[in-house]
Amino acid sequence: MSDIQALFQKDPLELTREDLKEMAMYYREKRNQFNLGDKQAGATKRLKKDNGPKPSINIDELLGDL
Amino acid sequence: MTAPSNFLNGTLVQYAFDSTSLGWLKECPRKYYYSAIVGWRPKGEAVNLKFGGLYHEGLELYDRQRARGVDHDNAILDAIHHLLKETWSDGKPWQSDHNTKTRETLIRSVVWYLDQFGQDDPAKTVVFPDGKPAVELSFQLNLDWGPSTGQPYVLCGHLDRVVEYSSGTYVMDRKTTSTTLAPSFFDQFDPDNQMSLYTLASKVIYSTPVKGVIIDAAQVAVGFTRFSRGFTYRTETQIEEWLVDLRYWFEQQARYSEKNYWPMNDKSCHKYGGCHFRKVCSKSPEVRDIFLKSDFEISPWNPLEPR
Repeated sequence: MSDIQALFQKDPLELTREDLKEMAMYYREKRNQFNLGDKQAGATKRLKKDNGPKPSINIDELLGDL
Repeated sequence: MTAPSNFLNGTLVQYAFDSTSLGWLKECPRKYYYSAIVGWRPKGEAVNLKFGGLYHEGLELYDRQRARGVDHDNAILDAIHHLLKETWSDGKPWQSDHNTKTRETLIRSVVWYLDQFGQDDPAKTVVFPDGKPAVELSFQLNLDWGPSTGQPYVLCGHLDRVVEYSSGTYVMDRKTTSTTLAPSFFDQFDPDNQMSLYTLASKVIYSTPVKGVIIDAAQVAVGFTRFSRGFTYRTETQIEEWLVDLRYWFEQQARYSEKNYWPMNDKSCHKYGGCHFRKVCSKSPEVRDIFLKSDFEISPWNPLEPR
């Protein structure tokens, strides 16, 4: 989870002034990127549940007999 | 506190109008009936209203803080904090199922707007003689005629802000949209019911010679929020004409309500991006209720409800 996502998940009553500054800075940076031509700079991904590490798959093993 | 009904007691005659309900009436009597009298709203509309309301709240708080002498950066932080609190309930953040109207795009839109227009905005909030900033002003304007003896028609609404701009006074109205902000976007406001009403109201109630309305539009997309500022002007005689027309519209409303029949304006269905009742009105009358109940929910509209 990124810092900004963590801030959004925090109870607003527990947010400090520094947290709010960090949030404002984050969006200002995104705006600068947008103004420089990145049209998706401000995209916000929906938070997804972390289901832990993905199982590793050995392609050679799976395709070995083919 | 519960607001009084906006209809004359025991009738369908509406005496208190805002620009939304008046707009429905002008667009199509059937749309007006469904929306203003029965109160049908499309399911899912709530998220747009919530997002728009919060966006206004954030900017209003910023304006108030600035008028109190708080600097730009701290006023932005206050607005962010307010919105985060407003979108937090039962220990959880607001989870919107809309792709562009979310908690994150709300904060992004407010920060980006205020960084573009906040600090060095040539439009300055008017401050009344009592020291209060002209921000989020609710108005109720009694007209000198009414639908019954002792009950005048009332025009009501909310002005986002009254500003001084380039040696003129304007109402400022902030809008959020998903539409691309081409110059033609602003054409829809001239002529326009809401902008004429706001110009009239601010002239009468605040005794200010208002030139028109500044529209600050925000296009909220997945990856960005883009802003554009447009102007719409109204002369004294245009406002007078609008008031004369209003008399005819109110008479129409009284006539429809007397018969309780609300004719469909079938030349309006495809305008304004398509009426949301189009799918209902296109069905045979005997099955329309089924479609209304499946796609809409009832949420009464009362312009006298305080914000």
